[in-house]
Amino acid sequence: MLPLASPTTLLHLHRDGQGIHLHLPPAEIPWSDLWEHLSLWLRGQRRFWQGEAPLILWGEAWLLDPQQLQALAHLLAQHHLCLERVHTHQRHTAIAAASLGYSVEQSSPWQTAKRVWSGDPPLYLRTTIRSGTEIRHTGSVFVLGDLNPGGEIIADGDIGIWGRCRGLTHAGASGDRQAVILALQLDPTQLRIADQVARPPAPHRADPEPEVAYLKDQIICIASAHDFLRRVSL
Amino acid sequence: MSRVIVMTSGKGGVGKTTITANLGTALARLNSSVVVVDADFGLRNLDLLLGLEQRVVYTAVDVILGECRLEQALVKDKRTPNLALLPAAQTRNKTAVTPDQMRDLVQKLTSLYDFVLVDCPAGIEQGFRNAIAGAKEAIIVTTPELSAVRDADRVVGLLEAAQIQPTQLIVNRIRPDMVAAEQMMSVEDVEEILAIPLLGVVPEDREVIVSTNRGEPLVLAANPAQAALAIGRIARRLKGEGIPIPDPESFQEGLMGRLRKFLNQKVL
Repeated sequence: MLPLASPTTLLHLHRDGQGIHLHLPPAEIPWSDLWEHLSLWLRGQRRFWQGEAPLILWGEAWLLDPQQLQALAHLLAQHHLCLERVHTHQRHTAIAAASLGYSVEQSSPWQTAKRVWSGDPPLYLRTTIRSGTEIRHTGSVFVLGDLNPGGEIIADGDIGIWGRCRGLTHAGASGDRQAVILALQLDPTQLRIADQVARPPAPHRADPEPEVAYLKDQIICIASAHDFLRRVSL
Repeated sequence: MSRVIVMTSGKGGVGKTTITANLGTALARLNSSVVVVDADFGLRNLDLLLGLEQRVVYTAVDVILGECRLEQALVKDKRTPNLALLPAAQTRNKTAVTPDQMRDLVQKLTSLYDFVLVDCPAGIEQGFRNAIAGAKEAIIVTTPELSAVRDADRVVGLLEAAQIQPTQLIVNRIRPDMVAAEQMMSVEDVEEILAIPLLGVVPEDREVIVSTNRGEPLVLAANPAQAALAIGRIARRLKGEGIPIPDPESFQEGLMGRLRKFLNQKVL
């Protein structure tokens, strides 16, 4: 079995008719960690909204005080997101949000299980993923930038890195054996696809080319991206 | 506008404190008023490197707790008139102050000095969070070693999250001969991973140990060593002068070094 990392980064952003929805991770991690992940994650998000967009926060079981809510609103405002409504399971958070003038919806945990996970859109990140950063996503992940040693990407779908991949990547994390990992320079610490793990062979090639890692007969194989894509698409 | 710069690295022992002491002295000698703040509560060092240990009466913690005025805790360096030290407490630990208190303290210093250099403790816990609290920009000090660079990378990420901009890089303790023999990471290797602007490169220098033991900053020496010259250039770059960063090869002094370089150029 694979040692799966803790679910720290299950942040999720999507849009519907009401505005943009931000889901905080359900797991109780320290506020400082959440803050750190959120700031980095927002920096890496490609903006798919125009102007100031109304934001609906899904706070789940998070206990937030007015100061934390204000800090969140301030951070979101820097990304042109205007906090308007707060959904929460917690009475404490509801009171804090109401006192700051946000509209509030308090619900019990078993009512808000309806989350829009199905067919998650790919996560697009435009940033360097540095040591200690863990990106988790229930769809595919595409990064414009490097994945540094000590950084991790864990995706239920494919992983594409337009840059150097030197950290840990896990594609098809929930079991998709068709998932692939592609990078301009594939020099990872470790590769994982579905339930298989591989250490790449000798690193540091003088003339790196884009490569794809894929699963074939229980073994993770690496091929030149050109050859692989030709085989798959035709 | 005064500049508040936190000197940080993640890993310990890469030369943060040495660079802070020397950079502070070098900036002061360029006619800037400078205060170096030791944020390493419980494990203070900066006063030793500056040779000011015996003149420490009050510390930053005393100021924060209201036991003395800020001016009473500041130790003025007599050799370098523009330089002052705000020492850390040796008897407390890193939880003695909060980031908010630290921010207030640094805020007070900005009205008094052109440069506030905060010497950050190793690690990324409470002490780190205190040290970066009031900072506007950061200097990452690292050595060309995998572990130091890995930790520096983590710290760059944390600084990004804390919205501290710009973050610049100093590569310390480089040994050109070992880089040439491919036994050590080169400056380019380090830059490639960290992807932040390079502020300077400081060569390995035995004079550093001598000056540390003597409590006299390297840059004050009458006949400055290579490392001292490098830090002097960094100070001038910080003040906005466009001084190029010399190739580490040129740190290799002596006829043999120069001859080897000359031959390399001719052959390759």
